[in-house]
Amino acid sequence: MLAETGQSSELYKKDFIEETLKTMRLLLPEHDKDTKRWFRNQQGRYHLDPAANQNGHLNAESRQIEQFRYWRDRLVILKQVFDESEPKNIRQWWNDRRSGVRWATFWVGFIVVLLTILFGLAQSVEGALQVYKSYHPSSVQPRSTVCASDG
Amino acid sequence: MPTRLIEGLYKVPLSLFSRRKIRKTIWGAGYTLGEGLNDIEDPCNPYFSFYEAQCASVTRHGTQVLWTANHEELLKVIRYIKAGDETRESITSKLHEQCDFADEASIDDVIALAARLLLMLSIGNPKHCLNLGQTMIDWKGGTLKELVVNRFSSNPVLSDHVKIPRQFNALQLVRIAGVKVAWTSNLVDHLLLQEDDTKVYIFHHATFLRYHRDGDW
Repeated sequence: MLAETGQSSELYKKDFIEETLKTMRLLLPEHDKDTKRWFRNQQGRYHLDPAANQNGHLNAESRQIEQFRYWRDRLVILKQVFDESEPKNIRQWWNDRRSGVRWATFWVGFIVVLLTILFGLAQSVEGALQVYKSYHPSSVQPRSTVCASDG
Repeated sequence: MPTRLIEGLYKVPLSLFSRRKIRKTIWGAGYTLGEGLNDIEDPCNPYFSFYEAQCASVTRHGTQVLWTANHEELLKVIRYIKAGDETRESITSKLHEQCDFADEASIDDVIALAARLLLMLSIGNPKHCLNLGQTMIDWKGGTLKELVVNRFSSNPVLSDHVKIPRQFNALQLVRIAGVKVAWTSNLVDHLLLQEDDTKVYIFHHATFLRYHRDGDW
């Protein structure tokens, strides 16, 4: 690898530059709406180069880790951090769509528990009302025999 | 007869004329990206912000001599080191002969500055470091090309077979893994995880990278 330095006159070799641009393409995919919105916000705050989000995106074949030589180690570590992370708050649970099945299961479960609690609460309130009513019935006049006997 | 850039290093912002001359010196006469565009549209803006900030930092923290230096002298040094084949020692002795910078410290500072501007790597004195947590690189000897090759190895160590799913991108790292993104102008820090895996640096100067790919070397 050191021997290659004599071949071309550029300081950064072209394949290194291409791979670096490729990592930008991976991390800041151009046609992802959420990334676009987020990057535009970041760009305004930190005066970033807009071209960082204008590199297109990677297809499945280009995403193979073997295609990265210079940046592979750091990407592997990043991917590991990504994989090992578990959502920590409601917002992260909502955003974590890595496993569609898990996401759906979690939120269905969440809704079921919520509904159970709500219905349970409603039933408890209703039950309590019933008990209250049976001890303190509303004042309903018993059918009077007074009128009949008066006559 | 080309006009000399007599603007001092400390003077910001650079004029359009200065930008054009700097662009030609570093990226070659044939590279005209940004030519004729006004300040707002020029895609070279991010690079020149970096350039100006570096010059300002050096004149603020560097030797007295640098306060009086101008961009023309800086471009002269950039031209010397641009090919990347001169050793640090030979560049230093050449500058001793030819430049007005009298002392060792000034020469060191200006060589390191020129290297930083060419490569967007934090080479040289940590005093001139603009962001905390950057990896500083010492260039004490050898050529600039050797320095680059040593820093950026194309022999990965980790051999894990890893699949990168479609959802893997910077925003998902932020949203799901709770990782903070720190934008950097130091290429050696690109994709570096710090602070117990909670912060990742991302180099954002894509235009600068394209210059290196498409420019005239």
